[in-house]
Amino acid sequence: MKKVIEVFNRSISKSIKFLKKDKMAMMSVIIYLFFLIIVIIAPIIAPYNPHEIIKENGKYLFNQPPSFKHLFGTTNMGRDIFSQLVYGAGPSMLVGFVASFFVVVVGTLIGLFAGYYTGKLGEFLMRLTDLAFGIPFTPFIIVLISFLGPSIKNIIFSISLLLWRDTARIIRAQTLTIRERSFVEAARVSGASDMRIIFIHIMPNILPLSLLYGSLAMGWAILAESSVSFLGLGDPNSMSWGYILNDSFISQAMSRGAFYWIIPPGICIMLLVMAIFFVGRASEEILFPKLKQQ
Amino acid sequence: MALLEVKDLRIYYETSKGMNQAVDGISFSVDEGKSICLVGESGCGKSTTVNGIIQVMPKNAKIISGEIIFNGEDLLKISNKRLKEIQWRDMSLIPQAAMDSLNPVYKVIDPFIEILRIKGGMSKKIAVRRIDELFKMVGLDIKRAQYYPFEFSGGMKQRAVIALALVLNPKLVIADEPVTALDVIIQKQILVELGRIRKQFGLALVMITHDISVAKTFDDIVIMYAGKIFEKGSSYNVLKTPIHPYTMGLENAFPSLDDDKKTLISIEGTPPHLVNPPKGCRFADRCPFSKDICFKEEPILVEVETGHFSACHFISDIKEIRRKAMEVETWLNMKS
Amino acid sequence: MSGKWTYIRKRLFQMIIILWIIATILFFMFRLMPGNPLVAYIEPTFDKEQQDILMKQFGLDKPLYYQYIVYIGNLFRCNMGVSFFYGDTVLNILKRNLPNTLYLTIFSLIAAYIFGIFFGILLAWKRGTKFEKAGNIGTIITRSAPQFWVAMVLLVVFSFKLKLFPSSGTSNAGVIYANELQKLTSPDFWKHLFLPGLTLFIYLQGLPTLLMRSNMFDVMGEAYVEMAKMRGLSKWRIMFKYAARNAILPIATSLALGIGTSMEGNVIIENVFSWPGLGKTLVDAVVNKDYPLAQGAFFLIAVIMLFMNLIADILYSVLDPRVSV
Repeated sequence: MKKVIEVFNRSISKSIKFLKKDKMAMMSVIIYLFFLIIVIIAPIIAPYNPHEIIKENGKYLFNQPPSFKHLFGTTNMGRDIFSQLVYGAGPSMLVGFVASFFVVVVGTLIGLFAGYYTGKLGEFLMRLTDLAFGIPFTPFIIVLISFLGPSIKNIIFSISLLLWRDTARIIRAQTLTIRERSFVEAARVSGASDMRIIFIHIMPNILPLSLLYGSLAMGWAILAESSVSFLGLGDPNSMSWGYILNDSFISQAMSRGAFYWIIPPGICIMLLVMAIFFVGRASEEILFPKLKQQ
Repeated sequence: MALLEVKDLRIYYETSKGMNQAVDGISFSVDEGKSICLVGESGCGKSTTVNGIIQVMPKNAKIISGEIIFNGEDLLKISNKRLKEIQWRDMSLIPQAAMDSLNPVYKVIDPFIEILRIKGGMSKKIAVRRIDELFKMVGLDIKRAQYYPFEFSGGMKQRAVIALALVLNPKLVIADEPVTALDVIIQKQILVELGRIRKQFGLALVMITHDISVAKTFDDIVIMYAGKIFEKGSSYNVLKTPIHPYTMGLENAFPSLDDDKKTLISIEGTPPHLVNPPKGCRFADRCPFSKDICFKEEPILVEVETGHFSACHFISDIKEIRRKAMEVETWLNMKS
Repeated sequence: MSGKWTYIRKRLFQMIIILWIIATILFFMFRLMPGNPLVAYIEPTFDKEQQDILMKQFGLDKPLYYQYIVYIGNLFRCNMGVSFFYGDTVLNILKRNLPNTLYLTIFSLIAAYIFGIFFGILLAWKRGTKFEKAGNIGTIITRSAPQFWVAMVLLVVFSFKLKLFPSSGTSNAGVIYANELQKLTSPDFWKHLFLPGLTLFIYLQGLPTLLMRSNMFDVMGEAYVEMAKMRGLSKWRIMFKYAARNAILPIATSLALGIGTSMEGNVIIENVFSWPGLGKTLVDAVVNKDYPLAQGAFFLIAVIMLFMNLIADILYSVLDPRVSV
């Protein structure tokens, strides 16, 4: 456990030094934190309840273009889009965080064991990963969520059920290489138990890779959630960005040219996912400083 | 006139930590049909020098100053087009990493045909005949040419790249540690073969090695260290009567197939970093004979006897130094 | 070389096993989830005669293990029941919609990979320049923007505002193609294919671009590329015959990943554009609780994806002479 914290601290201090140099990574972190803050202060800065149908002077405010009172206009049912955007950050990030956490834990464990044990267990885990790759991702989560019911919990569950596969595969490959290194050999010869070797010796070396894939998984999870919500299979209680776009789609916002409704939610998703990918890519530079300076 | 004349060549690498002064004032020359051996430890600048000569270097390598006169032309000043004409036709290179020097997705015969067609103006039929000759020369079966590189053994690959270097009958061949990766018996075989081919075709050969015992068969030797030349002269003189402590240290450090009575003594320590090279002689910290002046002033390369140069402050005491250098204690005492 | 055939045989076998497991998962999922196992194939709206036929065909009155064997047997014979919503057999519906998905996927994949490979080479060539940096950011944008949103934006601009392209379907209202050949040779079809294809293309090209660029970097530092330079060969020859030819090998493996990704994309894109392919069929079936059709569509998507992966693997073994055993 101490080793994990050590590696973690080292990564953090290296990251901070790196961020100061790479502008894109710095901006990405800022965007990321920006959305995080939005999630927290959403109730404060949102002028309306995202589900609230707004009436003014007895008239329902359907399809209003952006104005001072409604920064991004209103939907065709009279809901304030700005408030929806602000509240939409929450579900997206929640799904992203939780799903990527599962992906990292499950994917890493499976990858470690599949890579370390080359016998029946290793074979089995590898076949399991192959199977996970053989199942089409989006169709699967669509079918599963429609069965389980549209709640955030089910969305996270369905996504996590397959998303660990990339992590597992890469961690397994890495473990196979590290397994052959002399310090592992030394540990084995000195009588260390398998568990000890895996968690004390091998794991700290693959942890950076896990975290990298964890951050990628977060991006993929957010995209997956938005796709599912867009298709109308998402959680209607939480107004995620995908759901806002679903709303706009079925109410023909495109034919009305309601840019104010269509563009912002997509931009939000795109920025957040981009920021996550950039940070992920930047961390790859930090964690695997190759001789790229040629 | 010499076939190749390198004059005061300086090649530095741009790194994040500063300028790495890898080659810092190297001069030597090779006459037609002669052979010269560049000897030195890893990192002394031998590869950088020859990469500079053939003009294929990594992006961050910069030629700061100097001249490389080949056949009367300064390679550093000619046009790219002219350079491409010279490359491989008049001057070629046998690479260090024969393992990876052939395009893995093409058969071994392919680069031969490619260059014979493009630069030799031959048709495929004639090219194949020439390749057959070359293969016989290096001891390879022509049928093997239809195989892929990964199907060749290390020794076979080495022979193939030697053949490839000779394909257009160049005047000068540079061999960058061509036998280092092979076992000792094959090493000798290939060196003998190289010597035979050289004599047969009147090639000039520049060979790089870190093993001084290999240099015996060469006409001249250049001893390099940390980007500088420490000693240079005919191989007979340099090996029989070395006039630099480093050369003496090198001789002690390598086994040779012929002389088994020798005790191996290694030189303690490692070469200096060349980003901020030390003042004075770059070998001072590892040299058992260094004194104060060695750490302050850099010794200049002087001609001690005809054609035999050395860069050491204590050339006048060289006989005494040579005697002491043959004793194990001199080198072991450096540990402290 | 016999080595290649053993490899192909092994992969084929693997594919069949995975499909069998998927079929099994579907079997249990569609029976256990809704609660009533009969619901997987029979709907109250079916008349008695039809219900009896299905009962017999799928052994719905027999024990579960028997049903399973019958199910697998039926699957082999492509009998997947009758769609609740359309009344037609699942097989017929899928047969009708499969080609549309294939056209969309293959068209976009080929375009994306050809573009990606060349763009990747270009980015590698222009390493360190502003062009490369912009290219990298652009590529990441295309991977970060949700596909359905890109589709919507394209639709608003090119279909609704500029009226250049139609907004849905494979043909204009009322037009039905007599057969696949007529469809493919009709310019109207291609007009309809353009926007969905473009959307999928935008999403897919990122992977081969970044991968090719990264591979080129690795390869350009290799000894055989250096050696080619020393032989004084032309820059073009070195870039293509030595660098790109080797850098492209991992692209073939990534093709599998690209295929998987494109099948994902299909589901979303087909729904945005009402493109009558497997993806739309699946989502509609799921929404309508049309279980036989949903099962069938899902399974067929898996089959196509795995099959295309197999092709990609074979392609790789052909390109790289080192792969045999």
